[in-house]
Amino acid sequence: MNEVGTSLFRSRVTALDGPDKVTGAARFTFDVILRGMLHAKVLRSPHPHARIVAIDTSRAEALPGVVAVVTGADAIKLPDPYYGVAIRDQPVLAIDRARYIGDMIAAVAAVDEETAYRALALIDVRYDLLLPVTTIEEALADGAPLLFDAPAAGAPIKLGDGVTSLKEPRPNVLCEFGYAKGDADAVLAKSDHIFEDRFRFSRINHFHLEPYVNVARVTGEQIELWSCNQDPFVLRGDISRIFGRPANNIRINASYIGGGFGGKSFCKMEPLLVLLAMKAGRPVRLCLSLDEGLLTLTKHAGILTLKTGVTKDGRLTARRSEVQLDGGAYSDASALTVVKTGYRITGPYRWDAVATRAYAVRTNTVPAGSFRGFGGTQASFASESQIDMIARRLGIDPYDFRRKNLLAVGEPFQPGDSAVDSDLGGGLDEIVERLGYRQHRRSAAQGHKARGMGLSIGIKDGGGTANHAQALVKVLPSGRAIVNAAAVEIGQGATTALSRIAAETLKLPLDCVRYGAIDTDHTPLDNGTHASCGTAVTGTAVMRAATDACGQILEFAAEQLGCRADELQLDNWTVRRGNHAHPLEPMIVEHFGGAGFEFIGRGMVKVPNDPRAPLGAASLFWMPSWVGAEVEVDRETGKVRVLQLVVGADSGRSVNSVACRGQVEGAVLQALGQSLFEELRYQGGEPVNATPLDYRVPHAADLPDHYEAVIFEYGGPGPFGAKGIGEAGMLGVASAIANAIHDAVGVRLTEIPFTPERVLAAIEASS
Amino acid sequence: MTADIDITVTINRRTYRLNVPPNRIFADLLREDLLLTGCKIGCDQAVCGACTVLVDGLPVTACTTFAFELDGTAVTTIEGLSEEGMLHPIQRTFLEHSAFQCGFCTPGMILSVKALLEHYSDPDETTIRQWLDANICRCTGYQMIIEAVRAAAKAVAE
Amino acid sequence: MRAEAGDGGAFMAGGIDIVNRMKFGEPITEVIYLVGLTELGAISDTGGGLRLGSLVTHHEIETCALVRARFPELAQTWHDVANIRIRCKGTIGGNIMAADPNYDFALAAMAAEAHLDFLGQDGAVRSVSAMALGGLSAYGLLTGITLPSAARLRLAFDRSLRPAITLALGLDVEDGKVIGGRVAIGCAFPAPVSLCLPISEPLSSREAVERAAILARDHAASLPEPVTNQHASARYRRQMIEVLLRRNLATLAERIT
Repeated sequence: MNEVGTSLFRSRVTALDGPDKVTGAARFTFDVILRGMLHAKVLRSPHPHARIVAIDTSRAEALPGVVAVVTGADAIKLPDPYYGVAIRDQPVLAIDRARYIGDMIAAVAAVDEETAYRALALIDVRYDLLLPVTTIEEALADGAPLLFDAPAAGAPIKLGDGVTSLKEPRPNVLCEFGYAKGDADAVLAKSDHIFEDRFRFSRINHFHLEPYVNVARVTGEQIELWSCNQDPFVLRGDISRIFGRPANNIRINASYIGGGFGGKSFCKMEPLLVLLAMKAGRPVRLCLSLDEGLLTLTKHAGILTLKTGVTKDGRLTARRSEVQLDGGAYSDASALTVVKTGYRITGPYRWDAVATRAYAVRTNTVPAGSFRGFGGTQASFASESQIDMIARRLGIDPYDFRRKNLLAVGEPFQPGDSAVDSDLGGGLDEIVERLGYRQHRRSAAQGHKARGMGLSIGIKDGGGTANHAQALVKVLPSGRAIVNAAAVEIGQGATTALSRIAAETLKLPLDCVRYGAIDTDHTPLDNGTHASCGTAVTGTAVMRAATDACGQILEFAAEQLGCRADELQLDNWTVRRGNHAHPLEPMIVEHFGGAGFEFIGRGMVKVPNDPRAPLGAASLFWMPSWVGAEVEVDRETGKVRVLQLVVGADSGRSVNSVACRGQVEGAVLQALGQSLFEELRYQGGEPVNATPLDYRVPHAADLPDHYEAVIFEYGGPGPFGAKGIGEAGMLGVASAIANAIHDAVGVRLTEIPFTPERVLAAIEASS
Repeated sequence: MTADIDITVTINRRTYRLNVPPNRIFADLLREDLLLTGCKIGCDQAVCGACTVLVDGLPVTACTTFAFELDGTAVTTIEGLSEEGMLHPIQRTFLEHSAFQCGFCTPGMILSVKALLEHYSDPDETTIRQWLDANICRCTGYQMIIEAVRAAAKAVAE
Repeated sequence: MRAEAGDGGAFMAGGIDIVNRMKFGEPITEVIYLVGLTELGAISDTGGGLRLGSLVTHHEIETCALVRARFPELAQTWHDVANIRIRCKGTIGGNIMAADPNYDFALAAMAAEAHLDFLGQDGAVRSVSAMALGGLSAYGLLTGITLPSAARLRLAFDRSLRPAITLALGLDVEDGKVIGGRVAIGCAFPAPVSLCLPISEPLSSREAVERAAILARDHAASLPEPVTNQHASARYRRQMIEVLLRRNLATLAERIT
């Protein structure tokens, strides 16, 4: 195991959700069946931009087996038919316009999927085609067609003092973030060198193997959803607002989620399903195909232009950045992503001055939203590529250049924000060592293959911003415990990590703790399973709940034993007083009789708001990602083979080190795929590979020859020193590979993916 | 349209005599008729391999197999791996090596590994990677799965 | 049966191609399921060459001792085609009849100058050269593929740049000299394309290696315009046809003694 540090949790444990998952017993939302359940299918727009003139559903409704059909005419009657994070412009169902190929136009509930599919074909829609804008450039051009006629509901994201946050500032611009420190233009003007470079980032899809799947049942006043959504409480709030129903009569039930990566965060098709279930008067299941998933959400593509100043001896001075993200047709989580991409564009470095403008552009393509890494991926690709470019232009080794400019532990990321809490230089040194960077000599052109090495340090703030969570821990008379928290298990290991935190606090063996089922009636509120906050935020709430339970247990025991609680210690469901051991179960049975008594501990955590911090709260922890890559480039074909990938990430103190490693390795391979081949490609407004057969994701055969994850433990604010690590692996891979390609063949690729054709074109252009 | 077809198929060592419509998909038969819900449907077009089951020892995607094709065959699903409550060595090594995260691809992956180890008693890294090319995992990055497979190869040999 | 089924009918073996097309909406209402016809799954020795039944699976091409002995490059390459599931269920006949430029067996058949046997609706048996692929379903049911004598044939495959291009190369060898050959290209055109190599006189191994670059350049230039799609442009494809052909010609020719 590659671990550098000291965690409390040394022993390797079997994941608590493991036995279910290896036997096929694990239940996902995909497996939820309700008696009398109908099956839904969605009619989607075949046009990237069109006015909906008329929809005739009569033939569909007449088909035997069809129970209900809904269209925008049903959606518009809702109290508030729009959703989106901060800015709510996405309708439950298209009302007057289709804004991308795949936009939801109508939905059918029928006795089975086949009937529902047939019914879709019987819905007649008359469209008036509109000119689409399908790229950032097209959308921003003078006189470009607008996606929206009127301002959307909502408000810009509230950030710290002096930080710009605008809603719909210009035509086809959804939102804008602006951050400044010092006077960037003045500092640039005085710098020895100024380098301006532009980078293009591609769109990829989450491609979680469990499709988007939900079951809705509306019975009288009660709305109940079985949902694959990562954020049950956020969803509950949205359903409440959209349907004008009280939140305490809306229950969201979560199961194991078959992969999320941010794709299942925030509202997607759940409101549509509730609308359909209301009309149908029976439970309805909507399971999208993976093809439809490709048309539901992507990671933001974008253009990042960095103007960076540096002294002649390699000290960074100022950076002016313009970040243009392609937000697609609807808001989804673009408002948040814009903020985070813009804020993270400065990387792990020290700057005299910064000026950043980041905004999301509306285009007639699939909406973009939260994807693991959340702006940190786009920002790291641009920043860490340019860092290397600048180093080379100055004739400085990229390692030395980085080392000279890195933020030190204890230095604030930006004024008002928290200090960097990882040893950025130390981590880089470890990666450099394992990669064999020092021994590497760039191979002379030998035949048609050349090898090169590249480094990168990605970084993002972790744990969300001003985040909060609540938890309960119930301890049963027998000394078994149930953890009630709503960090949903998406494969990140929340089940085991949170149970382990509770077990350690309660001094119980891990196999005495169970992670309880999640539903919004019974489970305490959580802000959402994202931003790598499960361990550090929800885990803190769990630890506090367990601590509260301990306090109650000792108070109870003290009362029974006639002493003070502080004379007692809890250990493996026994209370120790000096040399005497008093098992708890008999005490409980004696005192309560009947069904006994449960100690219910309560805990919560709120990261404090702070208007002096640029984002409105100091970042909870920092999540660097150190990457070393070695590639081999075929000069005649442009094909890039990744020989080595060494990636480091900081878990703070691992609660479950094996899970940390798994999260890093999984993220790295997603990033590797996007670097070399994975992309949702568009030709104008038409997606050309929006089907699993053509949308290639990494397979086992794509692994580099040598692949190593290194888990550092520099300490963090979470339970027992933990941080979060789920997103780290995404951050530095693309830039490290670009840097390695440059080292190998002397060409710089500023656009991903690095397909053979692109690499070859760059090689030919340079000679 | 042809009338319903009689098929005899052994699933997890139990023989079923069934009467199926010609276009009944095997994955639906498993999940809906036999309540063997360990078989998960991901892409529904034979790309991801999540619905992999073993037919006469060979890995096959249940989502693109008609029920009539199973006539006269012996099928193993994930539910059939453990015997009398004892986990199969592959299931044990998957647990020991944390060779899963969200778990959606896991049943198909484990069955694919079972077929691999019946073809190769001690497969090397390259052989494992090529065989598992048939199973997409979006979560793990495959490395820990491969380690579990190598451990399982030893365990199965014993 | 096929005639009765009319337009909505299709032959089905492994079903890899057919089921996929049905899922995407092709109106196939009847399938004629061939798996029970075991004689279509045989591999037999023709005294030098091989006859492969149309229901032979990719997995059998990879593992059959006779194939490995006669055409080792074919068996080795087939280890990598698609994935294990598709190799176990998919048949070489189904692969050819799908007429998909991304599929591999047609390329092998063309490079080897194989012959395809069809059973027509009139009951007659016809043999068609693999080089003349196009409109195959008109011939009836594909029953087998005959590969010529291995002593005279050298095969090489290059799938390293798929899905931009895949390449199969077959060289005819007599008395230790290269007397002709064929190049089959996949992924780069709307259908698999094969052309004969412009070899007008027997070449020794050394001569063939030396002329590999020119042969490759001329051959690539003589091909029709490749497609431009999401995987690659026509220009890149034409360039890579030349590069891969040159490399594979040189490597294959070098091994001829």
